[in-house]
Amino acid sequence: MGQKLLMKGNEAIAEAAIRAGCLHYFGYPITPQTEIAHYMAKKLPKVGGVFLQAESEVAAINMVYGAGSTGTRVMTSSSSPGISLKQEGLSYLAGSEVPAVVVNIVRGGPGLGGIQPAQSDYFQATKGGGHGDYKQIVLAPSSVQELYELTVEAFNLADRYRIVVMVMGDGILGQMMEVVEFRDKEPIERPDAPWATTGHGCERSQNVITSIHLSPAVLEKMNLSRLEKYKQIEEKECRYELFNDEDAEFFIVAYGTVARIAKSVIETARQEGLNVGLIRPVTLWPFPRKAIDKVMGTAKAFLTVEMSAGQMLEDVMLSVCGRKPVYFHGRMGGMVPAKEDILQKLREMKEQLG
Amino acid sequence: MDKRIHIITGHYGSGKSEISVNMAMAMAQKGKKVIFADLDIINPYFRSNEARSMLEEKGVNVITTQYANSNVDIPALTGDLSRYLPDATTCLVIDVGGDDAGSRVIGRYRDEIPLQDTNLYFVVNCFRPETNSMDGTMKILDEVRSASRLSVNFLINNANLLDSTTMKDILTGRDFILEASRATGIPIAFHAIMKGIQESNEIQLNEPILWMEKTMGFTNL
Repeated sequence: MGQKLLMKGNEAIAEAAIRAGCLHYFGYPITPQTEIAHYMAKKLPKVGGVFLQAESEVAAINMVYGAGSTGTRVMTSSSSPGISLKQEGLSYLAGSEVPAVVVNIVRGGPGLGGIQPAQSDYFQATKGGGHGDYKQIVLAPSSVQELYELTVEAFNLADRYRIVVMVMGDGILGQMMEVVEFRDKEPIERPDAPWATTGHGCERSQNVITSIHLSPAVLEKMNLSRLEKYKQIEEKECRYELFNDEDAEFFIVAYGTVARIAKSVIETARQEGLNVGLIRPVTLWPFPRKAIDKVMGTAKAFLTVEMSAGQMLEDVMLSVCGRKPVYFHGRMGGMVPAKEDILQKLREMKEQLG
Repeated sequence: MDKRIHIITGHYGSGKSEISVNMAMAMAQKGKKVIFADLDIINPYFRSNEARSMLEEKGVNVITTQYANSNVDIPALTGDLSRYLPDATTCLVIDVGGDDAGSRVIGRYRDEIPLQDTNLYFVVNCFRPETNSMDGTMKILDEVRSASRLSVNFLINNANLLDSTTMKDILTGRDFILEASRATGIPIAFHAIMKGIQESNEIQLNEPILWMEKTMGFTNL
């Protein structure tokens, strides 16, 4: 590892993208992620790239569609209401299998909501906010260092599978400052892109990037081939972290900022004789079901904690599949779960289950 | 710190707000009547307004931009500052937003600021991406100067990698700020160092030190 810098989460994302070879950024400012655009505006021209502030999020995602179609690395970023505006474009990107990286630094909703942190875009990100049968990989970092590392990885995954990869953080992660240690050389994988629209030069047939297929049989076939790809991703790309999982009785399932709070709850819980472990999904799609299976031997119950009304909760319940009880604690609107409230919930679980 | 008005500028995320709050508390401790003005219209998330209760405990009066911390993302300025700028009985610590965009705000008060009673500081953390080179630092310094329409009287070294900051990092910052000082002719006000830093008893510097307390940030994490 090399140089250490003190960075905001948003700056680390932008720096990571540039290091990963992203040369095009199209976006529109919105709190709490505007530093990404700010950083890109300052730095991209210096490395021969293009920063463009679009007239809207809808325009920005379609610029991403265009740039991505040529096989170059491209990114856009926004926060919740802006990501809603991009949904049509995301569906088109999925239908055309154009790789791109999209960052969502989530804020409280619905509607214009607030500017404080939330995790209430989980459904939109993992179940497809746009129309049609499609998936996108969703990465959930929980530190500024991880924002950097996973953003680099997002570009590799996007190219490897010709898929949209969303890096999903929240207002705290975007705004907080932590030390980032940069690698001297980034692990960049750039597979050939024979599908890209780079000009045929009369030497090959035309490449056409489109998501329109009017024949039902053809459209179904394309959907089936994508399903095959999604299955592969589910098998190969699940990521998670287990913490204090050896013989824990209760498991908190939490991602991003909330997983950090959970870790400090676990310390305090141990002093009270509560043996608590943490399952931290790093990929939200594909959801790491294996992590749940892994701890099923010792786990008496699960507690999902989110900054939402209970969205990842549904994936946890599907993974647990009735084998053990699943509890929930959530805060909304920009409120952050307090350690004491999570601890209290664990005490209640212990009381109920013995 | 012998002047009455202290304006703290710097690059984005340089640690201006934390330093401003600590300067205000240090002045109040010396028995001065201190007004703290938060003019940061750049960042609605981390602002010194968070440290309000800590300041008020030490007898510092806090004035902020309207709607600060209300989740309403409207950067409206307060008129209160104009009341205190000519008031010879008060010390003012003014925390200005980052970069040239933040400093432009203070330019709006330029004609009301009694320059002979004022020091303007520029905070540098040599571990931030925009200011880890001398070129980058000089560029932002120039931008802040022209946006604020004021000259910078002092530099502040805030070499900072949060909890992992070591003595060696502080010395890296010291060397950096000395070079910046030589290049610009602007003297160094002090080195800002967090209390409790490792090997702090071994720190020997020729310039003054402002020992800092942490007053902002998410304590839950």
